[in-house]
Amino acid sequence: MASFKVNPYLNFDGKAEEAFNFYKSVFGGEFAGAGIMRMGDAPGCENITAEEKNRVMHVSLPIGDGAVLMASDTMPSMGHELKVGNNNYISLHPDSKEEADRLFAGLSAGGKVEMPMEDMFWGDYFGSFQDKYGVQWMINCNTKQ
Amino acid sequence: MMQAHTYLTFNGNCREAMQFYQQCLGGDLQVQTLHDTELSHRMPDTIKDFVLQAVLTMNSFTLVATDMVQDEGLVKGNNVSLLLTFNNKREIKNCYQKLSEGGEQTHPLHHTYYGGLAGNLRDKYGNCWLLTLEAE
Repeated sequence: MASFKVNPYLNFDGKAEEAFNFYKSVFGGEFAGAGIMRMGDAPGCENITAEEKNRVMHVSLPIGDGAVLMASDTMPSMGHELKVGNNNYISLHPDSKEEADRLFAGLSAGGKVEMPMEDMFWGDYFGSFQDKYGVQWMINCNTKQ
Repeated sequence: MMQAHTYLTFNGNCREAMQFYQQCLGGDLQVQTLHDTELSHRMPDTIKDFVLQAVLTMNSFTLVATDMVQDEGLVKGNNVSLLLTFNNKREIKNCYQKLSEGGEQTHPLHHTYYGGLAGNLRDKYGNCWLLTLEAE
């Protein structure tokens, strides 16, 4: 049986830094390691444009219980094309309704609410939305615990 | 402490896809279809086998999926991937081969300048994965 860690990895078209500063303002904490690593820091990227040098090669934000949110920007000069889909949600499981409400309000600001936070028939306090960067989230709080 | 899981959407082939992921990754798979719900008698037969929720769990890993598509239809994007971090070279190679079967090896496993292995793929169901090996 293979052993591995799993984390969601986000891709942005030049907005990774802005988006991760937004996520940090909601989740708190600090970027892991050396902070934001940029394309210009990588070997072999000496001849790309200044705009692409400033793009994010990697950033990671620990958000709790081993979960780490990570991201990079696309590189248009290498043919990367970002396609925002709706097939992948990040489902968060906070400990309390208060924390669920706080995360929902913070992360959905400027985005599109799909389901406002409500007590659901299956026993969870639940809501979902797409944030202003196109990332889809679910907030799930098990109130029976 | 807060947990974060990935929740995938399919449009009728969720069970098949989750069984494929189970073959690739291992774990225990629980599937609940619309047929299993109280309202199933009010639904057309064609959708009774659709998955309401499927959960694949192993150790600290939980992957959740559904066939319940949003009103605007299913849009397969590449803006969110699942990152798997390994610490064993044989396991990452094995997993990359299995997950990419029938899909697209968008960036095959290669040595990175920081001393590991990394690769991207889009599986045959349209979901994106990143596999990395931390230096052994």
